[in-house]
Amino acid sequence: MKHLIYILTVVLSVACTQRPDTATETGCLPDIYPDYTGITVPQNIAPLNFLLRNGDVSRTYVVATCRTTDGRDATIEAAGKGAAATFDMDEWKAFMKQAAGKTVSVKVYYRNSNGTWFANKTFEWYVTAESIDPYLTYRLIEPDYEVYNELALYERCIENFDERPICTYQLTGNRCMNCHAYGGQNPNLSMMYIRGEGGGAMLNCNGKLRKLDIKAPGMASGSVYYGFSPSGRYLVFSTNVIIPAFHSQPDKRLEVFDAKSDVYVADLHTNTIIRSPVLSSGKCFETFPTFSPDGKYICFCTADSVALPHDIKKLQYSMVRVGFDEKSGTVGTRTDTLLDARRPYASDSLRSVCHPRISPDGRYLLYTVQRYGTFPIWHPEADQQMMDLRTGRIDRLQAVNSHKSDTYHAWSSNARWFVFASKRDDGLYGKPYFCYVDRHGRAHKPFVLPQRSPQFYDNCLKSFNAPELGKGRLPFNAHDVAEMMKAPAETFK
Amino acid sequence: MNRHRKTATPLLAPLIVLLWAAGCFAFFQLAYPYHFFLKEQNQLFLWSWQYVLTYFTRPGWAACLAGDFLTQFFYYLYAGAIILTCSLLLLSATAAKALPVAKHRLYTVMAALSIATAVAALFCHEYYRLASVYALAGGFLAGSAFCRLARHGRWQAAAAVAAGIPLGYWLFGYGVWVASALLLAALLGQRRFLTAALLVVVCPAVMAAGHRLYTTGLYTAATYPGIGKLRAPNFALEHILAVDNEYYFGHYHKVISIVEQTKNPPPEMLFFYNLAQARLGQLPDNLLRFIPNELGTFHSIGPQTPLLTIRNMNELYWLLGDMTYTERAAMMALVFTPGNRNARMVKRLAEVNLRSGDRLAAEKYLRLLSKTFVYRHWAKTAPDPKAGYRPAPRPAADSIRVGDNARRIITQLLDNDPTNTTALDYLLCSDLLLKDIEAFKRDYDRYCTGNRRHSELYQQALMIYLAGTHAPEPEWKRYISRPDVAERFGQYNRQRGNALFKDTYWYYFDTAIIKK
Repeated sequence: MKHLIYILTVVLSVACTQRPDTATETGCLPDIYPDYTGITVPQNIAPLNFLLRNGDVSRTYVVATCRTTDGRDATIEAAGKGAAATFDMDEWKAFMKQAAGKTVSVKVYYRNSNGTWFANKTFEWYVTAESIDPYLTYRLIEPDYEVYNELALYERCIENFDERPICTYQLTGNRCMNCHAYGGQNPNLSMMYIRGEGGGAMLNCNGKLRKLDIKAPGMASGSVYYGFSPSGRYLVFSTNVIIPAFHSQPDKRLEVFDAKSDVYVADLHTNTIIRSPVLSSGKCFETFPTFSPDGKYICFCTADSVALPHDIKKLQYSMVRVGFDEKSGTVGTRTDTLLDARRPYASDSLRSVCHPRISPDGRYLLYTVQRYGTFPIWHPEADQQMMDLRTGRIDRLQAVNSHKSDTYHAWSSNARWFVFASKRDDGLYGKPYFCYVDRHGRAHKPFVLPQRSPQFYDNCLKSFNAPELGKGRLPFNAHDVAEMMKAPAETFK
Repeated sequence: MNRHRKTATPLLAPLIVLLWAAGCFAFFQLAYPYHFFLKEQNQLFLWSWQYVLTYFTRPGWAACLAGDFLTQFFYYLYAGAIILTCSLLLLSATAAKALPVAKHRLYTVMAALSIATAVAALFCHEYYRLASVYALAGGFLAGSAFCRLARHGRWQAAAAVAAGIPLGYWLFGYGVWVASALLLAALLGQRRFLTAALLVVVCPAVMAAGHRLYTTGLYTAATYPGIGKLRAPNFALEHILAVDNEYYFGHYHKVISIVEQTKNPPPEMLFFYNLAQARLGQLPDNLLRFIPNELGTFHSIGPQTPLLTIRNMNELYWLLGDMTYTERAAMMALVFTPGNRNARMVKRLAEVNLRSGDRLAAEKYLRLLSKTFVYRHWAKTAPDPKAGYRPAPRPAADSIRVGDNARRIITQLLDNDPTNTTALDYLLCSDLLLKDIEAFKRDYDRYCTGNRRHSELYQQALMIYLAGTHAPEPEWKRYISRPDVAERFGQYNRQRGNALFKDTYWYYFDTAIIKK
């Protein structure tokens, strides 16, 4: 019996050999999904599990190596049946600790059905010592924003694979809900919307939820895009009458434009709305407002009104800023134009500016440009650009952008990372990508949010909408939000 | 007498079960087969561990997994009725095992079959899932296991309550209510009142925990994967699904035959009748066969539109050749399917992107379908040019359309591709149904110049216009190429409104009342 067990053990261990003794070099980089080749990653990221897209793969073996500070080689392996390479969480954490600030060489081996092992060319990961904010919130929705059913907002810890709903259709009567955003990446200050009866703006102040009805007479709609002032007292927001339309050329698909839009400021302490003719001119479309990190400016996009939808291609948004005094809650009277859509600042035709977001250190202004209009997620040509606010230099982020839509960015609190939604994989489903900006202001090749199973994105039929980074776990859950639905909403004057 | 009953019973019970199974199979196969297709299409079961693991995020994962796994095979003829009958037999077997033993075995069998019959009735609802049958069967199975365990002693009974009920809920969802009821009856019978009291507390507590743990509504948590609603079989829907699915499978003549054999077919059936006629290039020849008719061109879809109508509109846009609106309708149907997964719509999305030449988007859906049992062969072969997905003509100039006005969609398609006779027929037939002769003449002049359509229907409509405008002889000669139709027009004018001319557009024009 003992002998039999011994023989079985030997046979099984030979049959299950996970690492190759010899392998034929293919001389090319592996065809992996997600594309994790040559990327820069933070040390606190979850395991970068991936899938080999080569046709005939019966077994995969991956070894990642880096030279540690004390001159040793640290390695981590991933091996498994089929085309998936998944790393052990504990081993990964230990490895990434040692790899912080280093370059990691990754070698991928695979075995075909004939039992022959192949080795791909080594690629690298650049692991930064600067961490990324560990929490990410997003809405999961089909890529057809005119209708909704079974929506939910989620919070994901990007240091591991934990995900939890923070607002879900199951507890809110299948209502529409809009994206969650933080005030300065602070988990104790954030907001999201639930539309319809019992809904409102759900404001999270240190875990205590307030339900707000941020609407006042004369406003075109409820608030849509918004941003907090650094103190958290003020909320700048836009009201938008959003119209969906359809292109006749099928690759362009959906177009969304505002029939009317204005910007206002809400004082969350006194529940009053602050209006300004600069923010709500009546003649122009004003949208995508955000505070500068020091709270001294409100940055927003503005366009001359045109006949819509006929002249949609003439709808060009410029980016401007206006002063704001947080002490008195007053808006300045003069706007400075940061990017003028009427005078192309770049050599190409991408002139309409959307989604300005200033880095928390106040150094960079990240925004999206597209040919026209205000809904970049459906514009394949939409790209991000980054302005150095000290020098005015514009980086077109060629290492970051793709041939599909890249937009909806949000900064990490240390201003070294930002997340954005990209449709680069299939042109339809947005996914959160992370990009590193080094201390010289150079943006590195981005990578998609890792998932426990590398098949996740292949099987997923939802878009990750408006991803936002947070410094910590949100102090409320979906049940708290559902409970809040029963409370009356605070009104504004 | 008693002796006779004892010997007859062992044969009688299997015979009743056999008869019941035959009846169940016959009903679902002969009278209700198309509901199976709907249920199969309303999910997308993937042969992928990543997908299978998602079942653990909901209560009753074992029941859901078993039910959904089997539902994918409803695609095949006879498979639906066979799987359902077997599943219901399994349910009745577990029920018979779990129910308290009656004096006569036959009574137990009858009670179990009554439960299966009630569930079969529930299954007639289009959204009742096979998973619910397995939840119930699992509940009975767990119930008998718990009762057996409870018989062994006090501590075993307590274990059945404390560990068994949460485990049962985890595996079978709402089926645990049945298990709890059986266990409660057993505990009371054994006079274990304390354990029974514990059970009364534990069962709702488990549901409440499920509500928190699975972040779902309390009712959903307590009834997952769905207890269903008892109602009479919906044969009207079955008939609509019949033409819908026969059209989907490409059996156009069968669609026509089903509709023509139906007395007063509803608009949804007429919609597919027209699609099938258009596929065969004979829409104008059959437009007036059913009055009022339903082309679908006067519909607009939005959040309030029923799922079936959205699906239907996707078929219309696909036939007309507008890939933007086909994709939109398919995506909307996907959104409004419970669970947001619909195999038929995913296939359509792949087709749309194959035709519009969006390789990356097509690959996304083909990759998904390649993980299914039913569609993987199609997913492999569809990108091959031999599969017939010819690129849809791309509009030379782009334009923006707000809303889904079919007239605008069709005219844009025709401006881009004047040889699109299907779109042309839908446009002209829509004009005619509205009795808008001027629009018809305008459209005819605009789009039939190089693509003259000599259908009798159009000739009849043109005569109305020509007669109404007192057109000179050369105009008549220019438009009217059928002397037989002209002759009949003369006859009709002498006896306007006569039912002998019921098949003509003149009769329709004179008698039909158009709803605004």
